[in-house]
Amino acid sequence: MKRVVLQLLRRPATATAAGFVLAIGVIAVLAPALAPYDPLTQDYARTLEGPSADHLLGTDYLGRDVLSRLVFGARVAAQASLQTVSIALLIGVPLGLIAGYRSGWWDRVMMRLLDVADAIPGLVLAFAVIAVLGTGLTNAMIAVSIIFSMNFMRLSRALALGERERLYVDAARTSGLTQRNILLRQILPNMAAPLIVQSTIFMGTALLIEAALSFLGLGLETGSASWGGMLSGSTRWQFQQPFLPWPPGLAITLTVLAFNVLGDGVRDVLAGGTRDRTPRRRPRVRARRAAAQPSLAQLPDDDVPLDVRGLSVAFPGEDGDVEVVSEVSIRVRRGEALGLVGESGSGKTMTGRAVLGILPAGGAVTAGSIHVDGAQIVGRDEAALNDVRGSRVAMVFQDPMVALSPVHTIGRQVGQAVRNHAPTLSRADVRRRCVELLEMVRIADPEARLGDYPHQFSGGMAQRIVIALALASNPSVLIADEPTTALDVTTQQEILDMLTDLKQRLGTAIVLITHDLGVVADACDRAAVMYAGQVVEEAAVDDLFAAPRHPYTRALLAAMPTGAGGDDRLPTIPGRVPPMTALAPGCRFAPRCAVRTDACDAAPVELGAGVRCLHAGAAWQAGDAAHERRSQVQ
Amino acid sequence: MLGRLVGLRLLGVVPQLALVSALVFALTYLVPGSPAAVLLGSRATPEGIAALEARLGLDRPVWVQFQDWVSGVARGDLGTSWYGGREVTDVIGQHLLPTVCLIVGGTIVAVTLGLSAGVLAALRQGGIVDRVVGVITAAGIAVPSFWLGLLLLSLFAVQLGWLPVLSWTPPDRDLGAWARGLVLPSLAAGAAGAAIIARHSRSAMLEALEAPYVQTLRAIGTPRRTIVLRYAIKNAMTPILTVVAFQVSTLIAASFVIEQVFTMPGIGSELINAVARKDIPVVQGITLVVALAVIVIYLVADIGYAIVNPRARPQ
Amino acid sequence: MSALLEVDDLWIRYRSGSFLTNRRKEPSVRGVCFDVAAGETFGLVGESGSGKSSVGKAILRLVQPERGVVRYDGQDVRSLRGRSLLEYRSQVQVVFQDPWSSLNPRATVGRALLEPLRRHRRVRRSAEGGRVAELLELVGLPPAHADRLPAQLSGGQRQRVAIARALAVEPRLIVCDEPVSALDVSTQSQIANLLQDLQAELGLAYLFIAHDLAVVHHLSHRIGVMSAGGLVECGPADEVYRRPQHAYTRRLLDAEPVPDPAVQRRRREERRLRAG
Repeated sequence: MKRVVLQLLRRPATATAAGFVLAIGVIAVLAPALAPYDPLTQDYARTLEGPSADHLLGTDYLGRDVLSRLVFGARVAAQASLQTVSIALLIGVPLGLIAGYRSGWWDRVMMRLLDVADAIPGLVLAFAVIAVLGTGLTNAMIAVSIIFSMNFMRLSRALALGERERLYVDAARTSGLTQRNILLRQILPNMAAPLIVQSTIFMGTALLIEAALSFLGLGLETGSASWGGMLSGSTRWQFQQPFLPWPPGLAITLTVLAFNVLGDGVRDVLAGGTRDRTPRRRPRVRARRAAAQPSLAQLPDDDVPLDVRGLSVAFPGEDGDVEVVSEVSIRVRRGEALGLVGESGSGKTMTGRAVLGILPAGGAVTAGSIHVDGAQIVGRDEAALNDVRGSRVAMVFQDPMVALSPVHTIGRQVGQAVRNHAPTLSRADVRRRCVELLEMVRIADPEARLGDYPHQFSGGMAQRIVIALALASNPSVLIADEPTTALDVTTQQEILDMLTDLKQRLGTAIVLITHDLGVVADACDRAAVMYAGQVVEEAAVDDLFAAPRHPYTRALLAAMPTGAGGDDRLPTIPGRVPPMTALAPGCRFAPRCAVRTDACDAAPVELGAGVRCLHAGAAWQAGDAAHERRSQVQ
Repeated sequence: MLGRLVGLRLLGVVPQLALVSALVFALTYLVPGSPAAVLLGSRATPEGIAALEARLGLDRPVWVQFQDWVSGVARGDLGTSWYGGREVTDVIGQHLLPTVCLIVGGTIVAVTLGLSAGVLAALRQGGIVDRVVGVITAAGIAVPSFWLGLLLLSLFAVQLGWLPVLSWTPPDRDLGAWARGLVLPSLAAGAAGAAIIARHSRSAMLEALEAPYVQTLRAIGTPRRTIVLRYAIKNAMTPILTVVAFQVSTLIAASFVIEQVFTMPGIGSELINAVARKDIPVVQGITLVVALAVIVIYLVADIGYAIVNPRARPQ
Repeated sequence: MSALLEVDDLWIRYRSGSFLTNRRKEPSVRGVCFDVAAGETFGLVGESGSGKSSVGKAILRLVQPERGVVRYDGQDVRSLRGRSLLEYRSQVQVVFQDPWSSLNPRATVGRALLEPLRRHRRVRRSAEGGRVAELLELVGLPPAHADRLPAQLSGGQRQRVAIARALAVEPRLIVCDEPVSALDVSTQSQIANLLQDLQAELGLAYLFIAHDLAVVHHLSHRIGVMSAGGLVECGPADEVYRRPQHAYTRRLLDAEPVPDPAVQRRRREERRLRAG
């Protein structure tokens, strides 16, 4: 709570708005002491005056002091906004909470009620209430409270429905916690943020409605001082005294604005405040050493469509740049599949995305080179990259159910992939090619399915379509980022078989990014193991699995349950993957390593002969036992 | 498929309409004391009240009155005003045109300005355009619409003289004057809606542009212009449509206020007069017509929603 | 030996749509029978949509079965009310898959553990702090973590807290619904070991629900395999894993890649031959 308040005050706009609202509150409380005149005293000798030393904001058509009326008007404003919103919260939130949590008939009744409320706009409902109960601020505010409470009810219902699906509610139920406890102590606090935001917005809306009703002569009695009443009263005289509407008009506008800014601030802070604060600074680019390396003279190598050298990727952080990929070098040949293996945070995905030049906002390649079909990717502009993407290198993502636009047909999206690099193709040709692509990824009855939408396909089928999109223009390189992680194992097997088949038939070079060593063993020819942004070991898969050389690779392999024995404990890796801001000075794996020596901490360890370890030989021997245990099973 | 959707939605509208009309009918009985006593005010005598109740038909059983009222509504008869005995349908009919013109004008302002400003701000996120739009929309939401109307009036009509002070000219009398007269009221009525639509379309566009499918489109080399115009906007339409429908429905009420500013002879002035003097039948009639209009607006929005979003179509 | 938990001919069917478009869905669980003995781990394997999680939810009384009985200690779980239900809630606990949503984001670790303790009156007020520390130590977390919010913990740490919360009321059976599938490999084995240690120490029984046959086999004494709502095979873990009887189990086993390229190549060749 304290943290939230501090964060709020650190935002200049929010702090100003909070100060303004607070000031209005103080003025409302201290009005009698602050106002220079009685707000109701009339002085017919001095009507419609402009600002003067006597009357700082002038006088109105009855000679009343505008400043004093403005100060007393803050009372009405504070009362109107606080009363309506708190009453509405008290009525709306419990009803919505119960409707959302319990569902069933209670929810249906509430929903029908909301349907009715939907059909009658707020102001019209206020008119009806005033028609029945008579004019006056209280009646108007009753009407506004009703409208607001309906809104709060809808919001709370939606929020409660969402929270109910979260597992912590199920856990609370299985703990035997009472329904009261679950509703009030578990769910309600999690609904607070959006409710607070909505409340601040409604406080502003209440002022606007009060002003509108006063303007129509349906609000407060004309004598008493309210901003809305002052504004509407002054409009009749604005041609004689044009200054008159400005003080109340600005008071209303600024107060509503302050409420809204405050609400926006609360929402942004509680949401993590990242949306609008994407860092504009790009990470500092180190000298692109690799670009000048003489070895590049050997390029272009037709057989190596993807050649990444010394690639580093960084994001701007709180204290300087954070490097998430450090000097990664990989080469993939035609028709070869390279597995890029690692746990979350190892930098494997960022490596893949750097190849296509689609790093998330803020990220940048800070060193190294990426050559696709002999052409440098790093440093090219968006238009040049678009020529390469899809035609020479393409990417497939983890979750196929969100990787396609849900509101466009499959034909449309596959067609887009075809047209991107063949803009002159006729409609019929595009369609023919789409059918061909869907046939290639084994979608049954492709002609008929072009008109279908993504949600009409299963996860496995959707992933086939994404692969069809990626292969539409015959790229030399395909980056597949955890393409089967979201799928069932039987579906995974079909997708991996298909990728292997396409690799052999089309000669595509594949980079398969995965955390699953089983997938690597199945679908890859070589593998690079990544840890904390670095490649720690690279080898042909047969060698990697038969004789892992890096202690991390060995530990990962050992940690996989392989059916060796029921009651065995699994070997584990102590600790966890370090955050990229707190890496060990020497070998990055050293703090978790079983064969660590002092030399490991002395200096960063270089990649030599395919492994980044000072004890590669020793590690190999220690790994032997674990490996033998496994091979006995087969 | 859309026919089925419309059918399903119309089925849902029936209970909604029934409840709304019951609520509107009940207005008469929510008046504290007898409506007749209120109407007679200080001159009320028990005999007078009884006589007036008999004349207005308020002495019959509630159920009979409701049946009468519902069957009247079904025939398009909304009863007669308690003052002067005019037919409520006539009251509405005579004043409908200016109000409808204003609502349509306000909607055009709100939707075109709001959508384009929001989309533009999202595309230039963090840039000058985005900030300017941010400030203008924040102010647009906070300014009382009637004051904005008055400011527009005094600036463009009185001081600059670009547009007429008198806003309403029937279109059959002078089409040009009719259109010119509608400019300022439409701006005033649509400003708040435009601001809110702009903010929502900005965030909907930002969300659409951050969606995973945009990565897929980028990865196959789709130009950014195509991603924005062909894919992101259509995806963003789903959340925007809901906001637009809500804003158009609030615009109906806002137009009643704006009519007063620009002295347009619309339904608004009739409603406000009726509210002030407790002319319940007129209030009931206008409320019912507004409710009907809102229901139709949501129906249209739902159909639009289903056109944009295949998942919202009935299987 | 009488079973601690018996599931007898369980059918579950979810309803969908509003009253206008009410359609009865296909049942997601069809006539499932199995039992779990005290101190035993029973593994329930299946792919997404196989109904395995629904079975867990029915046991936890989070969904109403359409037909069939869940018996705990010989008593029909559906008939429990009031005190006896509360007693059941203390005997059977749960650990969910997603450690990001299974803890209330606004409650500190300490509060998450205290709530069940207080509800079941497991400790006196004065001993609460000590018991929380004890529970955290039991799952390998420093007692100082009691003041942290879930957002300040890693996935593995959260899963430890979820386990500590389940242990707070001293249950005899824990339903583990994919407790390790959302975790990284190195964390996965830590949690798997923790579950085994706790079983040895406290004599817990587990219903271990997962899609990963290798993990289930590693942890379970007996395994049931579910497909399309039905239990297609059930038996001792090694038996099912090494000599699968049902075609679906064989397919599942074949599809799960093992970290051995030679084996995978052989399997792919076999598949190719089968496909012709």
